[in-house]
Parts: sequence; structure tokens; C-alpha cells
Amino acid sequence: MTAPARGGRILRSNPWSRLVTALLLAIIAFAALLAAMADFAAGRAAEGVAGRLDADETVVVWSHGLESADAAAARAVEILARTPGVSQVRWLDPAAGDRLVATALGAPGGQASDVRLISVTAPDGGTALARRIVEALAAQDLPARATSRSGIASAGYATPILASAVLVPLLAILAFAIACWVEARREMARSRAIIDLMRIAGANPGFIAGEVRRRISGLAFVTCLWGASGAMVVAALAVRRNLAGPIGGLSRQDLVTPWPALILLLWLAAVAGAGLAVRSRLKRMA
Amino acid sequence: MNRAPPDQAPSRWLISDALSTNPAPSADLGASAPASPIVRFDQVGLAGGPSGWILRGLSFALAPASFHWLTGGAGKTSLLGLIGLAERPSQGVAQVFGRDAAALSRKETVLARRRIGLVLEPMAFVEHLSVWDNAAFAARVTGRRIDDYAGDVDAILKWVGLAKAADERPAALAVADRHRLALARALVNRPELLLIDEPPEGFDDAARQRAFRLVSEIHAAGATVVMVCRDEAFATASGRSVIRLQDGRANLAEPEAA
Repeated sequence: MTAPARGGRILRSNPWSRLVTALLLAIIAFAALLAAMADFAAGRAAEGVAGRLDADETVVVWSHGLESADAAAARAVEILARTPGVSQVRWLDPAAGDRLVATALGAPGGQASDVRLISVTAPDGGTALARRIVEALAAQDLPARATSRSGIASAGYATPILASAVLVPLLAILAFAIACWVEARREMARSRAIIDLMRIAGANPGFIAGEVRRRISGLAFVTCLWGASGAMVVAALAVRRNLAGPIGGLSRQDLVTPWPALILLLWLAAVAGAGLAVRSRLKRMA
Repeated sequence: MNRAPPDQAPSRWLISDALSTNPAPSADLGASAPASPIVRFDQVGLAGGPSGWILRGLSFALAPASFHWLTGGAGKTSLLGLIGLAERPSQGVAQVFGRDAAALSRKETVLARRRIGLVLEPMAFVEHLSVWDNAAFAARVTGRRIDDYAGDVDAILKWVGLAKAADERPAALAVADRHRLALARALVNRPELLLIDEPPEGFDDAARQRAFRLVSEIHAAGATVVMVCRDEAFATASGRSVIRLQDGRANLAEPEAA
């Protein structure tokens, strides 16, 4: 059997072990990228709901005791019209209200509900208006919720930001770093004899570390691309089937937006994880 | 497998040129003065083995450009490892290139190792690489560019008679050829100190003579050589210095003056 004549790779991995690690890394990258894209969709969906609310406050009333939802809404309009600071009150068409509720909750629309939405315009309402509205309705034995447009928008963003920008990527990056740390340790254990040869021949620890790190970082980069490609395909299918929400969910642009930053972070985590493993092993060998 | 014919005319130019232009960073290690020994052991011991000590109380000095047989009982490979900075002594002072091995920093150890060629048993190669890459190994791992050492590797492989096997894998080589490949690998960084372990079983007399001839050439070019020899009578009769190991202790016998 003829070997490559010049400059072959000094370290060579066990192909099965490398495949298992590659699949694991690709799945982590896939989950991280898909989560990021889903968060984009959630943010846009929330923005869509907020954009459709043309009033400062949206009051939600529902059927209560023997009173129907429509009767409760009619009574609420009368009460709110007398509330100080409120300049205009409008009862939203029940069908339009149902569509908004369905969008906000992510539930399928088109079903009649016992919830009614009332738009309240109050230019100088401020943050206390919602509380005043709820108190005024409660005083008339009418349970209700009041939400400002900006409140919906920020809630729509706050959740994904907490989930995506902090938790999901952090977990994914941590998992990536750990997987690369383990793979680097295994690679060094497998290649112990070759690494000893390198040391005896006068290789710098940095050269040895570079050999291992290069292999792990290459693997990490390729598997990031696998994972990202998979996430893009799934998200593209979701867009195509309108699963991501027709009123402002995932856009085609979102299919590629999270790639660069997240892949860079995952790759850096891989390099850091491998670097830590190599450093500790070399220290022990020295 | 194609095999190169035995070397009829070893390239003295290559070896002498290589050693005379040795690029090893001796300045960093305070290269020993001509008269001072290249290796000096003072009551050196290496812990291990069932008795607690593999080697103990070793005291000897090796002059630059000298040749020494290493014979005797157990511990020969360990001694080569100590001289070659592959092991650290458990006691005593082991000086290599005029510096205490135990006091060398990591960087200094790396630089010193580049001035030493080590052929240890069992011979370990990177089996998935070619013979050429294995011969080039010591140069490559020191970070040299391939253009810088490719000519040296070609010349050394030709000199040891493995030029035509350059694209083979080490596993395809006979035992004697693997030994010559290990020698080629040890020479590629143009070492000042060459340490050669006992040739493995399967070495016939012709192969042994040939290996000895190659090593003699390197020694004649100025390298200090320590070579393990099983045949003590041959070592004594050769008229060269002999380090005898017995019960973990060394006795350095200089040849008698004619």
C-alpha cells in the first residue's frame, strides 16, 4: 500500500469516533441555529400583533357568570368612555379580535372565542392607565386585562431575547466546547505514541497543540455548516408551509441572518475547548 | 517493494556538511567549550522497576565527537532516554551540552532535544505516513518549512539506502530497513549527539555491519555517538570507549593506548 509521499497529516483520528463527534456537533449547531431562527420568528410575530393594535391600550374582557362576552364588552365600552384620560373607545370586530388573539397565542385562528377586545385611545395615559382601566372595570364587577401596544411588543422581544440571545446560544456554545474538549482529549490519548515522538524530536508544545487544535477546529467548522444547512432547510420548509406565521413571522432573510455570528461563536468555543484539553494534557506529559 | 541497493558510497559531503552547518541554537544553551564534556553524569539515578532503581550512581563524562559503546545489563534504553532528555533523573546531576538537565526550562529542553538524534527501541514510526515523511518527521515538527528540509531528507534517505522506498509505509520495510529509517529520522536535524539503541532481533550480521558503518560515518563527521551493543567482545575489540552497565551502575572503560 502506498502512502502519500510528502506532508501527510501527522495525527489521524479514528474515523468512527470522529463521525460520532461530528454528528453530535452538527446536532448542537442545528439546534442552536434553528432556535435562533425561531426566535427571530417569535419577535416578528409579536411585532405583527403590536402593529395591528391601532390603540394605545387594548382591553380584553370575557364572558363572566351569566353575562355573555358581547354583553360584557358593551358594558366595558360604556365604563371606559367615562374613565378619566380616555379620549376614544372602540369595540373591535369579534372576528378581527379572534385573529389577533390567535396570533398572539400562536393558536390556530378562525374559531369563535368568548374573548372581546376593546381599543382605548388615551394620548396622555402613561403606564398607570392600564391599572386605572382594570380598576374601573373591576369596580363594576367586570374582570378584564389591559395591555399597552408597547408592552406587547417588548414582551414579544423579551422572551426570545432571554431564550435566544442568552440561554440557547450559551447552552449550545457550552455543549460545543465540551464536545470538542472531550474529542481533543480522546485524540491526544489515541495519538500518545506520536505525540511522544514529537516531544522527543524537539517539537514545541505549541506545535503539538496546534496539530490537535487544527483538527478539532476543522471538524467544528464543517459540522457547524452541516448543522446550519439543516436548520436552514427546516426553516425554509416552515416558511413555505406558512408554519412560521403569515403575519410577520419568519422571513426568508431570517434563514441566513443568525449564521455568521452564531457559527463564529460555536467555532471559537470549539477552539477554546480543544485548547484547554490539549494544554492540560501536555502539562501532564511534560 | 523497490529497495535501494546497499550504499556503496555514503555521501560524506552530506553528513559532514550537515554537521558542520548545524543550525541548532547552541547559543541559547551556552554550548560547551571544546574541552568540556558534551554529557556529564554525576551520581545520576533513575527510579523505577521492581528493585526501586533502574539506574543509580551513574558518573561519567562524554567528550565531544567521541564514540562510545553501551553494553551490559538492564537499563541501557533508560540511560539513552536520560542522555536524550526523554527522561528526567530521579537523583544526581545530569548535564547535557554543559547544562543541568533538571534546570532546563521547557523551551531550553525543546532546543536541546533538537541537537540530539535518538534511535530508541522499540522503533516507533507514524505508520500512516510514508517513509519519506517519517524520515522528515524531526525536521517537520520543529516547524521548518518543507522546502527547507526536503533536500536533506532526500539525501539522507539515499545515503541510508531507502530512497526507492520513500513512498512506502514503514510497515512494508524489513526490520533492518526500519532501523535505517529510524537512523535517517534521527539525522535529519543534524544532531551533535547521536544515541542509538540496541538493534532489534532479526538484524543479521550484514545489516549490523552496515548500520555500524553508517554510524561510523556520522561519528567521523564530528558527532558524539553512544551506541548500544549486545556483543561485548566485539565492543571491547573495536578499540573504542565502552560504557558497561551492571546492576544499574555504569563503568566507563576507555580503550587502552596502543
